[in-house]
Amino acid sequence: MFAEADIWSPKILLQNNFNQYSDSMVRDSAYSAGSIFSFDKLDRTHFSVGYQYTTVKALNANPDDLDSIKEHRFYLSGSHKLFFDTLPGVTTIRLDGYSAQSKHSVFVAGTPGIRRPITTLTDQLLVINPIISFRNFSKTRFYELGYALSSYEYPDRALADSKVHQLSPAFGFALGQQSDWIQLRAYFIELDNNTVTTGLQDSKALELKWTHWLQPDSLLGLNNIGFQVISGERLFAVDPDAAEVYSLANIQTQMAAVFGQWQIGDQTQILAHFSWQEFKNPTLDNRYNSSSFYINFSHQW
Amino acid sequence: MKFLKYRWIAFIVSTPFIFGSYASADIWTDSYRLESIGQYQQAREILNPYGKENPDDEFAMLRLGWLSYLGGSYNQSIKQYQKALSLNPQSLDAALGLMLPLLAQQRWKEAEKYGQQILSVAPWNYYAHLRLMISEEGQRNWHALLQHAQQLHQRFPGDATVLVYLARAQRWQGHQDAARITYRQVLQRYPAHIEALQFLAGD
Repeated sequence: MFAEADIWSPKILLQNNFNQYSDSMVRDSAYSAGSIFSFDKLDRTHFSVGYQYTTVKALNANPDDLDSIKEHRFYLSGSHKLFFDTLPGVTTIRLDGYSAQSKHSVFVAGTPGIRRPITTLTDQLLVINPIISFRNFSKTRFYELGYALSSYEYPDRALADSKVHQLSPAFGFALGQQSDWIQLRAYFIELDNNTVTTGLQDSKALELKWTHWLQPDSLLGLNNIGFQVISGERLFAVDPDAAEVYSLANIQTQMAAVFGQWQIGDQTQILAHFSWQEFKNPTLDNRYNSSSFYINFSHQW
Repeated sequence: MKFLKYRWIAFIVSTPFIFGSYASADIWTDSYRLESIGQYQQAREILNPYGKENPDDEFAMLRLGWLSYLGGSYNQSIKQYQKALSLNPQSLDAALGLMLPLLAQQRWKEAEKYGQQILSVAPWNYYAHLRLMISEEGQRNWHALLQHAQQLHQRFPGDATVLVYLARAQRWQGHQDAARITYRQVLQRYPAHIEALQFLAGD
């Protein structure tokens, strides 16, 4: 009569990101939209499948003769929780995979003042990202180690394929009465055969994220707020928290962000995230920055 | 005389069973004694050989599941309760017991499913409701917890624990005045309740 129920709980997440560049010699703005569908089998097994479309609009006249970049990216993730009697917490093994195709529309030749023809160069990306993590039962400590192997292929260009290896250990801990959570994540990124960016082979960055849970009936009805900073250099980073691959960016040198999340009922959440980022394009010796607004809506059944 | 001879034969034949029963009773006694002084692992180890020799003994599986849970061997406890459940699929004891290690491992949804199955046949089983409320709190389902605790309070108006969960759900939903009233009711039933005292002292 009593048996383990075999029930899958679905969840949907819809996301949008608006990005405006300033001081860039090439880029004007970027926009992305996507969705992730997740399924939880009780508390142990989780699957996600997602799609994201990103478009980067270039400035009218730019040294790269770029018109736009359009990327279609697919995301697949599976995780399983393990419970060991010898460990006072939950161990999670997770495997993420990303597959993307980006089309770079580039002006090829022509007369100044007359719209020139465009050719499209297609790049391929494949990422495999295994992750292992541990969180204690009292939810005061969290440890994670992830390795990502990204393979960039440029079949339409006279460029050799390149591989990116990333190690991203993370450590999180609670403060006070567990109303605050701090997470540190380091990025160690090594590029094999970098043919895209001048000079850079390795990059390192440190990310700090502070989340504070508010009392009920707080200002604007927010459930939690926080800030996030990144210092160092990141190129082609894979962010497992955001399920994001920075495949189209130049070298990211700094980032600061604030965010707030609303909880509507028990099952619906809205997250708003404002960020300022600084990049450098070593090929053009161009430092520029961007302001982004990201919003997502999620609902679990 | 013939009668006496048969009595001797009967005694000799039954001796191993008598001593066997005595030894068996002794391990139960020792197991309860060790449990009472908090030596849960030893209490389980004493019963383990009996459990291995008698894998179809439903009560032994329940007892081992309970002791494994108390000793923090949650995976073992789950297996033993599942074994008890497989021996008797109607067992409320086994299903209720199984909720304990699942809750300890924060497997909230799995525990919830067993809780709901129990309530489908025993609608006002106090322990099933209590463990279900723990699962709702773990999942931060405050709306569900609020409604659940209100219903349960009507059925068990003298119970302080139900009121504590009701007060927590009210707090998390921002109903501070209601939580204050509920915590005062907790103190009427349990005057030294630390959580209620701390909340009311913070006013």
